[in-house]
Amino acid sequence: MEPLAPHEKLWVDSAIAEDENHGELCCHECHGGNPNDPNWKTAHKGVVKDPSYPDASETCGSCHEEIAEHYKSSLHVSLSPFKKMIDMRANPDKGVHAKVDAARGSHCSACHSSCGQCHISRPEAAGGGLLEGHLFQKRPPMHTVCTACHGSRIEKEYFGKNKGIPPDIHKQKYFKCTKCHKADEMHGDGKDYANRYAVENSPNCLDCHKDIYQPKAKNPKNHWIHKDQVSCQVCHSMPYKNCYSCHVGKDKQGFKFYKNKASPIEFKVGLNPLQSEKRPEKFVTLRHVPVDHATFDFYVKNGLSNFDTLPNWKLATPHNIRRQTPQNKTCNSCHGNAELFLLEKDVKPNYRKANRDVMVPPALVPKKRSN
Amino acid sequence: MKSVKFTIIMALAITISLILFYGGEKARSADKENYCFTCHTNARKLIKITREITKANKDKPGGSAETEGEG
Repeated sequence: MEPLAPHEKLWVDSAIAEDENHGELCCHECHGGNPNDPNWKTAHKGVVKDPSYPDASETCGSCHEEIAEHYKSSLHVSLSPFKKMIDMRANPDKGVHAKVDAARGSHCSACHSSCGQCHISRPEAAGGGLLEGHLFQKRPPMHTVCTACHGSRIEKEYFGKNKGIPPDIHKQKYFKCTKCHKADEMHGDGKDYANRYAVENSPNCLDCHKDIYQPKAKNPKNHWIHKDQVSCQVCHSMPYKNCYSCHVGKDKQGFKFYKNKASPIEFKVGLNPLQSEKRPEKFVTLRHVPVDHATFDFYVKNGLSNFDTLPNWKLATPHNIRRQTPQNKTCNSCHGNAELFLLEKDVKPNYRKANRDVMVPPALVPKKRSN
Repeated sequence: MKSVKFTIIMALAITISLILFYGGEKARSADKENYCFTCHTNARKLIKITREITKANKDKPGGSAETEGEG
């Protein structure tokens, strides 16, 4: 993503005055400040950079009532799965838990979005700056909004930026993020979901690929054999990025930092930790997430004393889908190929308890086929 | 005949006042043109001000140099 010059971040296109929906609003009606003060320093007193965060009801919500009603339940705004996961891993001691919570608020919660940070500006977490001179963007642009935040993993996978790995086939078909991730999913529906996979309006490969089990479809037999056994990604995603051992803290000047030790490209199939009616598959692709026992040690020792409550190899839907992949070339590219599976030996000893439910017992690795 | 004339005049009057009212809305909106708008739509002014800000913050680091790895 091209960075913006400081003045470009603030430049407003005068064409906004011709926007029949927003053009008649005066700047200060949403942002505050004093429009009659010619001194920019004093005029900006009380200015709110993003008036849609954390509460959009008085600004965007005054017209877009239905969207604003559920706005706070959007995972992009609430980040509630972060809190849920960290709370489950956190030390139950109230004092320690409070410090973990503060660290989470300071570091993990910085990456939220809002109405404005998708439709008007680049997200603050990605440096901010107005999109198209404050002209309202009905569909958030992919490069400057979606992958501005979802950069390390999704962007590199989708655009084929991981060395030697081609882009997602949907990218080559010119699909933008919004083709699959619709507004209903992004805007929230009032429900407090445990994770993004539980969101009712989240995309499903079968939404488009309805016919893969039909006799006339390509390869229907193989799709039938593996139905509900493996997720689509197990056969169709390429190796993807995994992150290890993130530690957060503040430097001598009080600036926040993180240190993420390693981000290798790997491919691991494990047992589905979120098996449900919606995701009945036994085997799924797993991604190593950066949380570690000592992630918050800078703030409080033993903050994640219940680390083993949840796996840190988590259900993943890598965004580098291909029709043909190394693991689906032939039956025995996968069958009998234990290297593809997350075995005990692949998990560091201090992570094994946390990942006990997702590691694949050797007996479950599908046997090599003779024909 | 008188009533027809009266109706036509009234209709015209209403139409003209509606045009003036909505035109006036736009005009009023233009009247409201303020320092926020005049400054933020002027790239030259913005460059000048942001340079001033950058100069004032020259010695202040923007973030931690200790960050390592991918986020």
